[in-house]
Amino acid sequence: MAPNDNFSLARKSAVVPGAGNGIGRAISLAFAEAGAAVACVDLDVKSADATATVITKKGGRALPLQCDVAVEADVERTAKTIVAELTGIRILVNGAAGYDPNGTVLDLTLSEWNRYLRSMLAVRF
Amino acid sequence: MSRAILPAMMSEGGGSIIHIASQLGSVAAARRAAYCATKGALIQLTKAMATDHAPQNIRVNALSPGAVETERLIKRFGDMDTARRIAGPKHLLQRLGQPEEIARAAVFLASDASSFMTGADLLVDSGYNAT
Repeated sequence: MAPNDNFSLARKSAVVPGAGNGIGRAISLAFAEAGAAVACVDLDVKSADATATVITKKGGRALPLQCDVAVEADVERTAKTIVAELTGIRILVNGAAGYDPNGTVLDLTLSEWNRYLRSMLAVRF
Repeated sequence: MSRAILPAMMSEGGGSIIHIASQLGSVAAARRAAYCATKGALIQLTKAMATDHAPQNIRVNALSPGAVETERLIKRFGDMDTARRIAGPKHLLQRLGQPEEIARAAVFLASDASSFMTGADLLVDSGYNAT
């Protein structure tokens, strides 16, 4: 076995929320390069499509999906589609997040705090 | 998303979950109370889930980047040059990261190359937390 075979993701599928831009996009492309099929999940379906298109143009397998990962019903619907469409689901990257409000605890309101906790933690649940 | 995907992963006989955390999950920065609190919680969630799902051969790790050149940074600093000037020197290599540099670490955590790692927080932060 060549040393780099250990880094192969062949015959595996990955779920990547936040796949439309930034780190999530780069991870989706790198996973596909390593041989994984990638469920490119994003709130913005156009950006998910764009990432998926790059993957498929290079001969990889990608499934672009729109999902608000902070909404339980949306997550369940998306997961159902992924399970129906892809086999070998062995990788999940919990990366999608809202933008955090700057400030000390004196600057933030309780509703800002709760909103951010939801966008950062509930989406991983 | 973990709750929705875990059953499929369990029926496959195992898998790898990666939580994108931050170097600010283990050290603080001024005026980032909400960010630091949630990233720290994510690193602890990683350890808890690693403990709970090791019997199902599911590895759970955190991946903590330093500041990376993304749109999020432009939103925070106004433009990327300002981000590079202010945040770059906080990293030992005197620059911001590229998304691809974080993605390579994610491939490592997702693959069998990291088969003995679970419950860890992999810092890919150019030594931000080293000093």
